[in-house]
Formats: sequence, structure tokens, C-alpha cells
Amino acid sequence: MISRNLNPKMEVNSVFGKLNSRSDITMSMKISNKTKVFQYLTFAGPSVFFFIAVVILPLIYGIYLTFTDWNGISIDMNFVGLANYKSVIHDTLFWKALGLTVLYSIVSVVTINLVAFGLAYLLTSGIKGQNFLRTGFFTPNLIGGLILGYIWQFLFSRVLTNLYDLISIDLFRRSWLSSPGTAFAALVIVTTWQYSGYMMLIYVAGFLGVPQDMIEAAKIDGASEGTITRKIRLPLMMPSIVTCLFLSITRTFKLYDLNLSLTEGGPYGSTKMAAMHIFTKAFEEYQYGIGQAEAIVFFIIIAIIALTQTYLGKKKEVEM
Amino acid sequence: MKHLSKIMTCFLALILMLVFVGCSKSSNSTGATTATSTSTASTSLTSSSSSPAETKSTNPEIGEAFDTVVNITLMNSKPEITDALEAGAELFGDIYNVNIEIFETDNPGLTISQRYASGDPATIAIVDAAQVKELAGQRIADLSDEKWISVGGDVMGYNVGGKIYGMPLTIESMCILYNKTAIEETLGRTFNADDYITTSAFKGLLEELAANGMETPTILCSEDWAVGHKPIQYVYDCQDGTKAGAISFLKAVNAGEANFWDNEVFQKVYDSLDLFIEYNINRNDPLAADYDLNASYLAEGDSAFWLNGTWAWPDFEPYAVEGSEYGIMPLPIEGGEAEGKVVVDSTKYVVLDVINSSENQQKAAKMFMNWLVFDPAGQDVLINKCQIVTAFSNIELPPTNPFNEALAEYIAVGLTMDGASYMPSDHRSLNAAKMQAYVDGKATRRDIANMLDSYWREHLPVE
Repeated sequence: MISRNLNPKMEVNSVFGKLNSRSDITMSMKISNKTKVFQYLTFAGPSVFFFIAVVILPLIYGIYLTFTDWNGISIDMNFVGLANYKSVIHDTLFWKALGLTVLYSIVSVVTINLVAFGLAYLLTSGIKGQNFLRTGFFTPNLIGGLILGYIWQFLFSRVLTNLYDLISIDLFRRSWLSSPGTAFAALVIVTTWQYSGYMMLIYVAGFLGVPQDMIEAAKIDGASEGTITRKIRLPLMMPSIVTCLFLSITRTFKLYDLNLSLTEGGPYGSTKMAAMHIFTKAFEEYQYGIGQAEAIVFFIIIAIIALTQTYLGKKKEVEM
Repeated sequence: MKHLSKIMTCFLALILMLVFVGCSKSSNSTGATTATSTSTASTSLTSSSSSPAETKSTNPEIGEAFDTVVNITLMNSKPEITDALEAGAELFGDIYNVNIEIFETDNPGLTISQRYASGDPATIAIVDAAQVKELAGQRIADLSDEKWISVGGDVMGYNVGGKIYGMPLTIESMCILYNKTAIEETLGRTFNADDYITTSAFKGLLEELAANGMETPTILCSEDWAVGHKPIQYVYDCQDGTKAGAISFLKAVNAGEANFWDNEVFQKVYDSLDLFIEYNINRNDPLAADYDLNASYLAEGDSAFWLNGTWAWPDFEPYAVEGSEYGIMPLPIEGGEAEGKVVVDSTKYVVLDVINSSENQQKAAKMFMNWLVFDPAGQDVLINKCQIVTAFSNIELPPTNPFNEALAEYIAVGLTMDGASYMPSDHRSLNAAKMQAYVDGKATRRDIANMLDSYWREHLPVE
């Protein structure tokens, strides 16, 4: 902050001591810029390079492919203008999958964050073994979505149905994965189980960041636990909430691995989410151009939702 | 500090250089480079093929051994034969000085697309019909002049515009698998599958089995490729048993001159499928059926008939009971050309890349194909190690498992129908789910007929 208010000449002098002439100053500024470029290339260069190579360039190439009729294998690639985007508009299955994805995301984001917030609240209240419990709840996040899906598939299709033989609860008579409603619920349950531990850690950091003196002052003033949470904790934890919402929204929207391993889009295509539909279109139906166009539309929708949520959340942040 | 910065810069530059080198296209131009591949298969081959073959082998059917090692890659989309192929590739490589690096995939369409996009396609690829269709005439070689064409390759090879682009690797049958021992033990008499090729006779048999204690004598899968896609294919295959007949019917539907509901074969096939649904061992929860459990139900005699195909043997084998007899039979159907016939088709093809493969690599790949067909050691790999039924008439080795043995008998007496290889690439993704719903009782036969009508009104069979 201080250096910004200094005269450039003074700043250079402070660095190089004895430099006085105009040419010396210019020279020293040149060296300084060179050093800055070197430093930038050294530290940010590799990241920028890889970001451009694996995100920006594929994105640009992907956008280009949406204007072609490429099938993913053929040498032939003809320019078709906006035809693929017209196909996207008329692809009812895509919009159905997108609608289902939105519904799944809404339900999952709510359950993930409620469970995570509740866990974080409990595990910062000083209960016995809270560090061990934090680790335990976080562990599912370390298991990949594919593995998780297969584990839970076994639970829903084999363990619960065998449980029915013992306790005869009608809910367990059939596999949860063989009817649309319960298969959807199964996806939500597994997603919540997978992500709530991770979000819990962020909320724990938020809880620990709330000054204790403020809470003590509120207690002295007679505020109830609910009022303290509503009026003090929640506003001060808004950065954690914004982060958790952003992460859970983007992750649930992009669901693919769990969708593949747990339900495979079934039963009879009823749990096929947008990402899986796009994959099918591009790589099984060999309509790469349309699949890519659907991916771009999907990307824009996620970006709008995530950025809007972040913007609105940030507005609610308060500073002490 | 200044030195540290320089060292850091050099270090990072070195890493970037390595990344560039790693990402850059490997040189394939000569096709005769020294073996430097890192795969397990190639590692084991490198030592044996790093020097020219000690004795230069020449076989008129296959060709002459190379003086220097030729490296080629093979993409295998039939994972159950990878080990056998690797052993075969090593054997072939030792003799002909060819290093074959094999990698497997369960999604040939995706993998081949990725490989071509990265400029590193496999020299030889084992793929499905859909990929041959897409690659033919552009990226893969016309194999019409190969030696194996004259011994059955012309009949079962993948033909595009009168040229053969895919060498038939394996012949498989969509059929009913049965446990003869379990049926005979339940009925207390000899079972002959030929007596139950009509729906009415088969229905009587199922009722008898149920009455004698095997309450659920049929097995249906839950997977969309198995219970969703294959039953629909039966409707096409059974039209008159030929590819031409099926295509003619589908074109008529496309033109609005025919529809599925009024099609006699459609009704007959669904009469038969309904029997499988009614007596399904998984009928309480048909879409929770497990493929391995299904295999065990049939193998251990809990059930008698499995609607599946000869490809099921590798999954079935671990449960097979010693002393039990297993076999295959056609989908029961009441009269018509399809009665008593099993569906037979070449389900995997070998294709050869011409875009990135050098002349030597292409030559080596063709030699490997010929070795599999003409050399006794290659035939042993194909029939005994890979356990497949071959399309090539010169191979006299008998099939190795009960399903393949039975299939060979059907082929020998000509009781076969053409498989459906003319379906557009979105056929499964748009239709199979509804068929799953039918099996689960959530869709009617009329729904299926309407769905197929709508689909074929907008699509034409791919010839």
C-alpha cells in the first residue's frame, strides 16, 4: 500500500540507492519489468500454460465442433452452421434430462448443505471425539464416484432386499434402483453421503471463524441459541455458505460417474442426467456435433446459475 | 536469490520441455524403430524381439520375417480374450520380429475416436460393426484382397460398398441357453431342444417344469443391451431370417406401408418373450437382475432357460457344474421362416489403420491376421485360447465350450438367421429403455409397436 503512494523516482531510488540520471531510472525500470516477467513465468506460467492447454483450447475447439457435422471418428467434417443448435432445441430427451438434473441438483444441494451444516454445528460444539467424527464424515469424499456407486448399488439391490426377508418393510421389497422414484432418491442419498462431509469441513472453518466474544456478548444480552445462529453465525458464515453452495451446485449439475455406476440412467432411462445424455449422444450415437452443442448449452446454464448464486451470496456477506 | 530464480526457471522449462516431448506425436514414419513401449505386453516382448529373428521365418500364407523389429499396436474391445491375444502376439512376434502392444477397451467407439483425435490410433483394432461402418473408406484399409477372404472372410467380413473392411474375428449367436441336466432331472425324462421350437410346445414345457417344482424356469437379464435391445432385434431377424428381408420390412415401415402392430412376426416374437417374462426367475423385481447371479441360476439348475447368447460363456464358466450338460436353442416361434433357427452374426471385426501406420506396420498387421487364420499356432490361439467360433472354413479345430459346440452344429446344418447389423447408431439409446419398461410391466406391447413405428418412420436401415 505504501509503495503505491510513492513517487516512481523515489521508489526506484529506494531500490537502487545511487541511481540518479534519467537513463539510469529507465534502465532500472526495464530490469524491474524483466524480473517481473521472469517471476510471473516462473510461478504462474506453468499453471497458465496448462490452463490454456487443457481448458481454453479444448473449449474453443469444442465450440468450433458445434458448427460441424463431425461424428467423432470420420475424416469428413462439414460446416453446418447452427443446425446442431436447432437439433438441441428439438431434442426432447436432452431437455428432459436437463430438467431432471435441475431437480436433482436442487434437492441434493439442499440436503447436502443441511446435513453438512448440521454436522458442522454438532462437531464444533465440543462433543467427545469430534475430530475422529470429522474424519469419518469426510472419508466418503475420498472414494471415487464410480466405486461409491457400485458399493451403494450392492446395498440397494442386494442388502436391502435381503433385509426385507427379515423385517418385511415394504420399502425394501424391491431394489430401490428398479423404479424411477426410488432410484432418484437413491442418487440423492448417495450424493448427500458423498459430499456432505466435504462441505462440513468448510462449514466447520466458518463456525470456528465466528468470534466467541461476540457470541458471549449476545448470550449475556439474553439471546437464545437460535437467535445467535440466525443473527450472528449465519451472516458471518456467509462466505462459507457461498462456497459450499457454489461447489455443491456445480458438482451435482455435472454428475456423471455416480449416475453411470449406480443407476446407469435406469430404470428405463428415468434417471439419465444431462451429462450422461450428452455422452450418449456424442460417443454412442456418433452425433458429436450435437452432443458438443448440448454440452455448450449445458455449460452456459451451469455458469449462469453458479455465477448468479455467487453474486447474490456475496451481496449478503457482512464484514466485521 | 537471483541464482535460485534462474535455477527454478531452468527447472520449470525442463519440465515443460518434457511435457512437450511426451505430448508430441510419436514417430511412426519408419515403422521400424527399436522397441521402447512401456506396456506389460511389450516389455515382455522387447527382450525377445530387440534383435532380428535368429532364423528368418518364411511362410507363403503369412510372409517373411522382418529384419528389424516392427512395432505395432492392437486395440482389443473383447477384454475376455486379452490374455490369449497377448500370448499369441508374443508367439507371432518372436517368429516374425514384430512387437505387438495390446491395450483393451470396453468402449471401442470412444477409444478409437480419442486415438484418432490424438493422432495415435492402433495399427489393428478389434471393433464392433458400428465402428467399421464409420471408419470404412477413410481411415481403415480395404482388406478385399487378403488371403483369408477366400476361406470365409468374404461371407462374414464387414462389407461396405462391395469391399471388405473388417476381418470377422468371432461368430456369436443370439439364442436361448439351457441346462439339459436340470430339465431332465425335473421332468424325469430325456430333453430334446428340437421338440420345443414352437411357442406352444415351449409353453407346455414351461408349465410342466413349473408343475414339477421348477416354478421359474426362465431367466431374463436386466441390462438394456440384453433385455432392452436384443428382443427388438429378434423382431427384425425373424422376419424371414435374412438381412435383406429385415431391411425390406423396415423400409416398408419407413415408407408408411407397414407397421409393427400388424406384423405377424412382431406378435409371434412378443408371444414368446411374454413366456420368458411370465416364468422369469427375477419376476418379482426384473430390473434388479444380476448378470452373474443369472449365470449361476442356469449353471446350477435353479432355472432352465436363459435368453442370452453364446458370448455368455466366459461369465457362465465359473459357475458351470461338472457333469452338467448345457446347450443352445432358438427362440421358440410359432411357424414361419425363423422357426428352429438361431441368429448368427460376426460380432467383432479386425480393422487396419491406414492413416498413421507405415507400410511396414500395415504389412506386419496383415501378417498377424493371416497367422491367426492359416498358421496352426495362430488357429490354436483363436479357437482354443480365445475360445471363439471362427468364420474361416480352413480352420478344422473343434469349438471349445458347450455353447460354441452347439452353435457349430446349427451352422453346420444351416439352421441360422442373419443378425441385425443395419441398425442406426441411436437405435439402442432411443428404444432399449422402453423395452425394459415392458419387461417390468410398465409398458404395453402396443407401446413398443408404436415406439418402433415412430423410430423407423424417421430412420432408414444402414446398408
